[in-house]
Amino acid sequence: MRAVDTSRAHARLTWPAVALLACAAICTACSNGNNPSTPTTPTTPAGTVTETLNGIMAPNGTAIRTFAARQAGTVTVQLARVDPSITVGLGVGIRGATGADCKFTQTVNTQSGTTAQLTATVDLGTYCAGAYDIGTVGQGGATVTVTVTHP
Amino acid sequence: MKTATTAVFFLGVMGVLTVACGGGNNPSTPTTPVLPSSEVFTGTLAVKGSSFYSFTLAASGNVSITLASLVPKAPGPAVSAVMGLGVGTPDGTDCAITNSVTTAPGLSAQLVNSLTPATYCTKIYDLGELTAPVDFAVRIVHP
Repeated sequence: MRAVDTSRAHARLTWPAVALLACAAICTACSNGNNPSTPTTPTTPAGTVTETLNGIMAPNGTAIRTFAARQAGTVTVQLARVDPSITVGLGVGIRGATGADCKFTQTVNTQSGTTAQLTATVDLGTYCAGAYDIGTVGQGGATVTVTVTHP
Repeated sequence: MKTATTAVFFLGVMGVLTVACGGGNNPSTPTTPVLPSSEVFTGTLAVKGSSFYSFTLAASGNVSITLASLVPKAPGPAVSAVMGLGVGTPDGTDCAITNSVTTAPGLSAQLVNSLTPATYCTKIYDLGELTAPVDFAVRIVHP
């Protein structure tokens, strides 16, 4: 009767098996990240961004925020809060050449509300939006909250 | 000895696969979109008046022109009167328009032209809708 070297037999069987299993695992993992697929046009928007401006508006003053649209799309502007509760001007536009003021494209006189009062279509670029006094802000000023959503 | 050689071979194959695999899944740093360069042309437009602005292109590409604002008195209210908006080449003390649109203010370019490097001008002009002067803002986006 011949003695069997069980340790060597075990080793001969185990190494290739383990290596093949490991190789299969790596190949599977690798293929998950490199699946050939039909090219798709990246048209899905990255999502809209919401920015909130909290400001204190002086008599004859403005409370303006600059924002950058990362792609063409729709901008909404909401006067969410005014304290005291008064009607003010709300606008959206572009910064002037000096960047000091906002050149409004659309404006509306409004009180605060729960939905956007202004909607505009924009290209990729920098814009501004905010509130301005239409003669209703008293000497104590007015606290405003303006919410802008943009691409 | 044969077992060791086999093991080394398979480990080598695994190493190559791992490196190749890693190449397809490199984490990348998110990039901020680059905003194109822009110039803002502002001024006051008289009733039945016009105004133009010259700019120079250093490279070929699309030039987008936006009539963005008409405001009788800053900061508002804005008016939505329809104006003439053109692009052309400077001609003495005027701008010789080669392409134009009639448009109300907006925030999406109303006039887009593919232009080669040279000096150009954009012109805004009242078509008869104004009853009082307005401050205007025109944005020019170019390469």
